[in-house]
Amino acid sequence: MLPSTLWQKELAETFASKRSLAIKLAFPLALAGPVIIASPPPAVTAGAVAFLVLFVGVFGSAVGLAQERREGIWQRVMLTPHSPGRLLAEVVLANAAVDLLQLSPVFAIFLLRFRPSTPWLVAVLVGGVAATLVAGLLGVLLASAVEGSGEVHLYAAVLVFALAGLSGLFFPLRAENAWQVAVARASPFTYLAQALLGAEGGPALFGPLDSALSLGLLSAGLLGVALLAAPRLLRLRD
Amino acid sequence: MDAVETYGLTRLYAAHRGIEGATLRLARGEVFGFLGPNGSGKSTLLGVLATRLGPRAGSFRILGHDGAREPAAIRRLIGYLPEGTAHWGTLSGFQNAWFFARAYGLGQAEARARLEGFFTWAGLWDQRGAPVETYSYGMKRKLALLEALVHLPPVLLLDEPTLGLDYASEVALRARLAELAAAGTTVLIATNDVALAQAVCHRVAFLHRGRVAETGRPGDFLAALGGRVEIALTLTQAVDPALLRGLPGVEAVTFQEGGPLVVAMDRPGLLADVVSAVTAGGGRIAHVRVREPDLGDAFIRVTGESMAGGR
Repeated sequence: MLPSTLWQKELAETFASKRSLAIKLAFPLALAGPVIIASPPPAVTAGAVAFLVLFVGVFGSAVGLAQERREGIWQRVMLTPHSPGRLLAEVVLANAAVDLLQLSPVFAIFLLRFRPSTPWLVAVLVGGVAATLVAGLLGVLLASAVEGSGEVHLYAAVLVFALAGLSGLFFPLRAENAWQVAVARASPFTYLAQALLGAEGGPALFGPLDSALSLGLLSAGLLGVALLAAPRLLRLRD
Repeated sequence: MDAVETYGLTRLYAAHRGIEGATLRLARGEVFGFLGPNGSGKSTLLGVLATRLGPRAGSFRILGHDGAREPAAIRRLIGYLPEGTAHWGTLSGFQNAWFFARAYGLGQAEARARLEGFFTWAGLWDQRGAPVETYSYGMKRKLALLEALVHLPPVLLLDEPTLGLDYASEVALRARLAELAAAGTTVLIATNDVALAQAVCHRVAFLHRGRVAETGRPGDFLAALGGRVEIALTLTQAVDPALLRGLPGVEAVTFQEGGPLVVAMDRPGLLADVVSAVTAGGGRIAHVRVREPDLGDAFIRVTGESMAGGR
């Protein structure tokens, strides 16, 4: 494949080595597959899968982009005539596409294992795509804000665990804790976890429509703001 | 309208490095060299003109576009070879170059034809499908060079373009730059390579501690050195240096390892006279090296320091 755009470049890199592609696909499956199959309490499965989406999305884009910045490739890309908005959109969409490819076996096993009703199926699919997109966006923003590979790993870990905590991935959200639910509603990953919980037949706080719509709107809003701010977010560091 | 204009361009770093107060005007089709030791501000100046670095003071225009207000327009007009090499290692050389050719607006057929020509020119055609991570440093530099050239920009910014190139590639590059300049491309070269600057540059600027110390034509700088030459002799049988000091035009005879170093005003027959004097005096010559003055000597005359950075 001859890449004319960043997202084509991302796909060309992904498929350049069969070995690295196999590892990429096997890694999320190895982490989440046993959890899904072992049937722990529904909140644990939902939390594990949502955490994996968050982890793969943030680290996948942040680490790769930080490496490109360190090696100077990103500077060269930024000096092409493309607008910052286009570059940001291409990087985020390309990373999301690769992350979704990585995560698709996990979602496939999850859906085959629990066979949710159509509304919950739609909520999980919309939630999976939107949450992967947002996680990738966060990774891109992180990589463009910090210096060096070590810093990226550190801040990505902090971000992932903080968001996981706020989104109720480590402990179930309870409706009676209004403040906790209010905070959790600001995180896209809350809705993915709730959609997964509902798909398993667990006690979800939000319905499938609420989850899918809220997550879709939240991620579209975040992406829109990021695109508007792209010239500042992706400015060349000097 | 000049191709490149800078007015008091300043971009300093904390360690007193960078460029300060650079004012230059470059015509279309001009090949202009920035010469100076490491840390003199050459790469910084090129980085500012490439819109990679923002100036802290002053301004610049490239083909009429203001550097501060129209960086996107400038990026369309330039080809930039930065320091070092930066490529996607798992992709092939052709895939890397294809991305940049397309990013600069070349259509598929045009990109394919141009890249075929440039890969052949750079001697990379046979390795075009290999991952860049398997390329040598010189091959990566050639790839970066052809990526800067492939969209035929009207202004080329080349940072140490001969770094890592073999002799044949360097000769090919000189010829290509001359062709481009003849076709109207303005070329700015930041380099330590005085041979390159003498061979291809219409004008050069000596950068010294972040400032433009002097600007002029290479021939004028060399003429200002007064036409002196150095003749270094390696002898297996020594001779009396007075034999050499008495020759017409000889200004100084010093001794270095292996034999005398003669500094003289160049004239027809000088070398023959030196060799005759040595052999007539009973000396045996193992090796003779004649060095004409170059821009490195002119740099010393202007700044009092060598291109290597020392006094």
